[in-house]
Amino acid sequence: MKNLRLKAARAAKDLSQQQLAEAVGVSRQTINAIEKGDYNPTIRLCLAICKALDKTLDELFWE
Amino acid sequence: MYKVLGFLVGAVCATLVALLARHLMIRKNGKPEYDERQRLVRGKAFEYGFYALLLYNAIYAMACAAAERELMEPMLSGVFGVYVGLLVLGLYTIRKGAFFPVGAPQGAKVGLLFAMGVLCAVMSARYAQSGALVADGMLTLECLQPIAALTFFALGVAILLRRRRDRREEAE
Repeated sequence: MKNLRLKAARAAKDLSQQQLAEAVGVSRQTINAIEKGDYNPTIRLCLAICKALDKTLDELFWE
Repeated sequence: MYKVLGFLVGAVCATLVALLARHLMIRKNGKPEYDERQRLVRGKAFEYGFYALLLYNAIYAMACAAAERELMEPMLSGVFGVYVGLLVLGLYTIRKGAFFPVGAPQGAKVGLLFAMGVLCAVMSARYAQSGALVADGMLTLECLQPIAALTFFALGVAILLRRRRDRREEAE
């Protein structure tokens, strides 16, 4: 299932996938896979993304 | 005997050069790291590469049985399998965006792949002209050159296609 909330939060911060990927130390393809719902990230990566986007886990990843 | 010795010397030299290049790259850019998704993908890629190697061995054994003779020199048939496995591994990781570590510069490596491909293609043409690729109805060890050329070109083209897809995804 696509993670549109992550995509929206990233767009709201005016970050590209590449910029977010660099901020959390992963590849751009990994961010893309998370947004498309092709990859289920570990809690460590979820937290890093939340910190980078100033969001909570609930806001980005809780169904 | 000399052919095998030459092959071994070449393999040792290539390994030393690769290790030296890796050491210099690590000193310059730091140790390359794959992220968590890439590590999972690479594990799968190794699995598929191994299956491809097994499949190649089975198909080659059946082809030899059907022809009732060896189709390649024994050493070539072994190394060919390794190339098949590596190609599957490489193409799968490229497709899934796990070929390069996070933040690794790609341009030089793609250039190196094509340069190696051209080098192998030139050697292949020379062997083909001298008729060294086939002897006694069997493919000889010299066929490694065209096989390597095809592998390098296939990986290079796959990376270029992947980069084009990356640019498209990034623009969306």
